[in-house]
Formats: sequence, C-alpha cells, structure tokens
Amino acid sequence: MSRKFIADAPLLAMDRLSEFYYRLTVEFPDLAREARPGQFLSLEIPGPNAPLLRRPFSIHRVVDDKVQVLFKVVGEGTKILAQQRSGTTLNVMGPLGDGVFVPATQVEKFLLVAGGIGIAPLLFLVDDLQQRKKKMQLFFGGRTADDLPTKDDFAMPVTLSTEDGSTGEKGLITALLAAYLQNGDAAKSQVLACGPMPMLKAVAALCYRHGVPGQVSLETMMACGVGSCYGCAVEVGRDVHGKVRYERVCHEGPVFDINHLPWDENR
Amino acid sequence: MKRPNMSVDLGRGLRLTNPVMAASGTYGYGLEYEDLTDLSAIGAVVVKGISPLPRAGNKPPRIVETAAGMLNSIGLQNPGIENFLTQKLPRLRDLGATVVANVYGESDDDYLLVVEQLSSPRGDGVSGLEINVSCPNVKAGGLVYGTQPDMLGALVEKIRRTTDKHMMVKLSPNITDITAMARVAVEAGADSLSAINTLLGIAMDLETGTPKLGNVTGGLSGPAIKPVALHLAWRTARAVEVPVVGIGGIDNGRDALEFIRVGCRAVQVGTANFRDPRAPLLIAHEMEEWLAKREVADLADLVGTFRA
Repeated sequence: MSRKFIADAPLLAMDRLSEFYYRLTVEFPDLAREARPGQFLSLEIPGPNAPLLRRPFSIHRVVDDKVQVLFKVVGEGTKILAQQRSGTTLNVMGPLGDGVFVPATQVEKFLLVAGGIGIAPLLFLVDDLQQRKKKMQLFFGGRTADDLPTKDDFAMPVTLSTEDGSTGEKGLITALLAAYLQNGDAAKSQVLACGPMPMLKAVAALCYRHGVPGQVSLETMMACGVGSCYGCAVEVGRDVHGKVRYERVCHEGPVFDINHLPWDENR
Repeated sequence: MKRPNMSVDLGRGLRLTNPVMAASGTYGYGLEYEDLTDLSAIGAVVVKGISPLPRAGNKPPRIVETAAGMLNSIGLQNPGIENFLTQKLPRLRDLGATVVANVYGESDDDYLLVVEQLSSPRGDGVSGLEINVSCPNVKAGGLVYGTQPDMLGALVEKIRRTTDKHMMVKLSPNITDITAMARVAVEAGADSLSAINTLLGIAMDLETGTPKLGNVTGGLSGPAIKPVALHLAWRTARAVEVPVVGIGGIDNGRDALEFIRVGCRAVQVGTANFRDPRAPLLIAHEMEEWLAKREVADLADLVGTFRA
C-alpha cells in the first residue's frame, strides 16, 4: 500500500497534443516517489464553475520529481482543466489504488492494449517494464487519429487501429489483438490493458479463450478516490452463498486480474 | 485576537474539541484518511454505517454528480461489526480519534446486536452512537424506521436500555413533519439528533430513458441541499431540548455557522470531504476565525441567534 499525499502542486506544463488530448505536468516529489504503474491520482478542478467532485486520472508518467497526467477533454471538468496554465497550482491527491499492474515474471512478452485515453497509464508501465528487458508490443486503438497522439512515445512494435480508418487499420483494436493471438504468438505472453469497459471485456474474452493471463485497469465514477465511500464498486463475482460481491475500483483496483472479474462466460 | 472556545459537550460522554464532525458514509472508517489528515483533530469521525454482518451493497452505478450535488445509492456496503471492532477501532483508538459509530440494522435485533457490541469493553474508544434510521438506499430498516414514529420510538427505547453511550439519532428529510420524529426520538431517550440525512432523488439518461443509478433512486447531498437542511435543522432545534447536529451541504465555515445560528450545537460535513479530506479541519478553522474576528468568546454564544 502506498502512502497517500495531498497538496497544491505547481503546474509546470499544460501541453495540447491533439484536438482533445492534453498532457499536464505537476511537481510533486512525494507522489512521484511513491507512485506505482497502474495507480491514479485525483485533481480538484479549480475555479468557481468547477464540478463538485474531484476527477480521477491515471498516472501517465513519473519523471524525477514530476508527475504527468494525460487526459481527454470530455466534459466540463476536463474543459476547465485544459484551460489551466503553468505558473498556477493544482490540488493533487495520490497516489491512489492498491491494485497496480503486476507484470508476471515468467512471461517473455508483454502485450499492452489501449483504447483511446486508456493509453494514459501504459507509458508509466512501459518505463517500469523496460528495466526487465522483456519484449513488448502495443495494440493501440481509437475512434480517430486524434485519439492516438502519444503513439510515437512507445519504443516497441506498435499496432494501431481507428474506427474511421484515419490511422492504422480500420476497425477495433480487439480485432487486431484477436488476429495476433490466433496466429499462435500468445504463448508466454501477458496482456495488460486499459480502455473503455466493452473493449476490456472483449480483451478479457480473448485472454480466457487463448489461456493468456491478463490484467485490466477499470474506470468508473468516483467520489472519494480513497476507498471510503464505496461509490465506485464493481462486481467481482460471488461469495460462497451465491451473493454478488463488490470491490472498489479506487481501492482494490483500479487494476484487476481478469480471473478476479466475473467476465468469463464459460465459467 | 482571543481564540474563541470551540469545544462542545453534547452530553453523556460525547465531547468534541471542535464542532465539526465528518459525516457517516463520507469518511469511511477514518483510516482511509490517516495519511492525509490528523484524525485526532477532527471534532468526531462518524464512521460508515455498521451492520451485524457484512453487507454487499447496491448494484452499480452507485454515484452520479448532479447540479451542485451528488446522488448516491451505496446501500450500506460495510464489513460488519466484528470487522469494525477488530480491524478498524484499535487503530482509530491509537490515532486518538473521537469516534462516533453509525449503527444500522434491518430489525430491532440487528440494531441492538451492534449497539451491545459497541457498548461492551470491546467498544472502548467509541464515544457515541449515531442511529441510522434514515438511509434511503436500503429496502429494510433505515428509512422504514425514520418515517414511522411508533417503530422509531420502540427502537430508540430499546437501544436506550442497552447502552450508556451517547445516542444520536439521525433524522430523515423524506417525511412530512421532521419535528414529530424528533420528539419521538427524544422522548424515547435520544441524547442528541442529527439532521438531515440525504433527500431521495433520481437521475436519468434522457436518451435511453434509463436511471443513472443501479438502484434507480439515491440520496441527494452536497451544496444543493443546504437550504433544505438549514430549514429542517432550524425546525428540529426549535422542537426539542437536546442538542441538534446540523448536516447538509456544508462546504465552508460560513455554511457551518449558519447551522449554529439556527440552533445547532455542532455540525457534520459530508460531501465536502470528497472534494478535500481536510474539509472538517479547514471548516472548523474558518468558523474559529469568523468568531474571533467578531470577538465572540464562545461558539455557544452563537447558538440559536437566527433572528427569524
């Protein structure tokens, strides 16, 4: 379990990467030191028109004392966030979530799978995996090319797809992952994925079918972000009495092993 | 500038160093915030509702943000009394937190079982009980008690016979006349009342015509409910002699002081904790500054000074 911190952190940069994607950099030595790949942080959206609740974001990257967040403008909160400029501060809380990516030691190749803004936590993970000198491949899909502004940050074979065909293959990234696993390259691989829920369920289904271990980072609405309110619960199967069990994405997650989730229809 | 007296004695052993408590359901068991704030400095931590056995809670989604507020339908997911006594309370004691335990049951016996445990030596470190008869998100217990005077009176009486600890009864706004329930609770032996719990509400996805919450309905909290809460706290405080603890949309020191003015002796801060876990301490500090600036010697001097 990581120690958590909260502070007004200096905003060092707000970089616009594509029409809707931004990357912000804050200085937060405590958080930078403590953070593990897969963890997230929460930000208080500043200003008088800010939404009530903090917003959770994956930790995109840690560089020395600095922490980066990659985000997509999707609503009022992220719109206000994107208007912030370096020189101000942001109230940052983290690192959050005990459920981190746990790369398997026996594996020869890591298959990273991202859908849209789901790419956010994977760069931090790659920085960590690189020290293990294992093979990696990224499957990265989006609706349009606008969703893929960070594709060149990954020094590894990258398979891209967009739903409109503007970059990479036309279609869903899960189709390309399916083809890859079908070709028998799955042995001694581990899938590490983040993206929208339908994509993650499709990724998990492929993993179950091909016997590939997998971990997925989930996203839900959150209120507290620290495990106190139980607002972000997801179903994780049933207890011995057959009653549904829930766990907190913010606390037991956000990363879950696919075998911990009740997604396998054949079980 | 002389510092005003901020301490509050709510009676029967529940003494607060300052009037701001963290409201049940918004501060977990306190320990979630151990790294982020000084738990011992908070007026009291009202822990999340405790039932006899663990509860799974409601179907997700459980929260949705609304205009100046949020709806929740958690459904009292909690690890049960045994887990609280063995896994949470010892640490809370070590940290020096003032603990109020929120108690929930589906029947009289459920409530009494939890109250008995908390009142035994195992419950040392619990300074008070808050009886949850107002949760809108569970089918049995909760609001069923909070809307039926006979049931509420009988339950509170039984609890009174079971415990020597301070008993606060948390009232629901989802009722025609809150003062009727307030009087029943006090006559049956409540030491204090907290008002209000959340207001029932719905959020919808217009395009699909479906509810945004898995449970369909949820409880509304946050700044949106403050005027309603202030009104009901005011009515409650005028109806009974015991201390009233104001809850509902308190976001800063000024909000909290308004509740004091309508007659509350203390307050609870809930949804604001989600925005900043340091809210109870920050709000207490703002209250103190406000009083000091106006040379009010004691918070108690402001209680009931609403000139309506």
